[in-house]
Amino acid sequence: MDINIKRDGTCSVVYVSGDVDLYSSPKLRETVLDLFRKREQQKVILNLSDVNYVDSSGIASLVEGLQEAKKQGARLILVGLNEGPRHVLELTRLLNVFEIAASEEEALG
Amino acid sequence: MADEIEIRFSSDPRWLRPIRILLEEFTAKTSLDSTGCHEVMLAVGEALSNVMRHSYSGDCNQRVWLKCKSHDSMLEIEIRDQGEAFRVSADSPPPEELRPGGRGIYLIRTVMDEVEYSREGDQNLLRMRKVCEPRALQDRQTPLQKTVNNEDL
Repeated sequence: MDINIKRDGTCSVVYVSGDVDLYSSPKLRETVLDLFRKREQQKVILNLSDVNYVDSSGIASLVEGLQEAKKQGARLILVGLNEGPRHVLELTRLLNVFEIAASEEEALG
Repeated sequence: MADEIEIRFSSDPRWLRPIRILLEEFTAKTSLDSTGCHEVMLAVGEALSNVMRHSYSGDCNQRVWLKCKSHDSMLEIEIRDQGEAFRVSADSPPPEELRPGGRGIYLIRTVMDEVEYSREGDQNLLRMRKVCEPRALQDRQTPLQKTVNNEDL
């Protein structure tokens, strides 16, 4: 899994590519938490359009990110949900818990 | 004759992705649709993650065995390890709760048709089954029989 971050003031777009599983999810968790805690970002957009597989440890990282965002009064927005990750969010009944945007532009707006 | 693949590997999470790739090839030979194939990969991934995290407490150098068998209308998965006994019920909280962990067993039970856990001697054995549509005779190819070891992943 690779992560690239584009920061603009208090907004960051995190581009994730590859599978998010037990091996790779700690890196995603650390990245998102760091953006809220240390970089004081008000909006973090997770672009998952290059992610086709997310397991429960990846879901746990997203949930932790969302909890941290709420704690800081900030927003975590998911963009580019492919069929696999969307299906896992549906199965765990968490799809409606996350803020999901149709495009990066919409999330930025 | 059924298609069968056996994979023996160490309990290191870095093997999860190569195993999913092998599994993807295997399930592609069944009649499962893309959602069904994804669900099998998810269930196996969750079960292996449980073995790595809980049975072996994060020790990456222990042994794990994964066997997949596909009959005409059934996909059977068997996972063995020699770690601590599972506590299956402890890992099944209501999924809609907004807390980070504890969704692995729930996912396995949701996407597979049968899930059985047993302790056999010093081994944990998890058996999972998923029903497939029976394949048409003309779709049947030469049965796949394959064993893959750690070093081949």
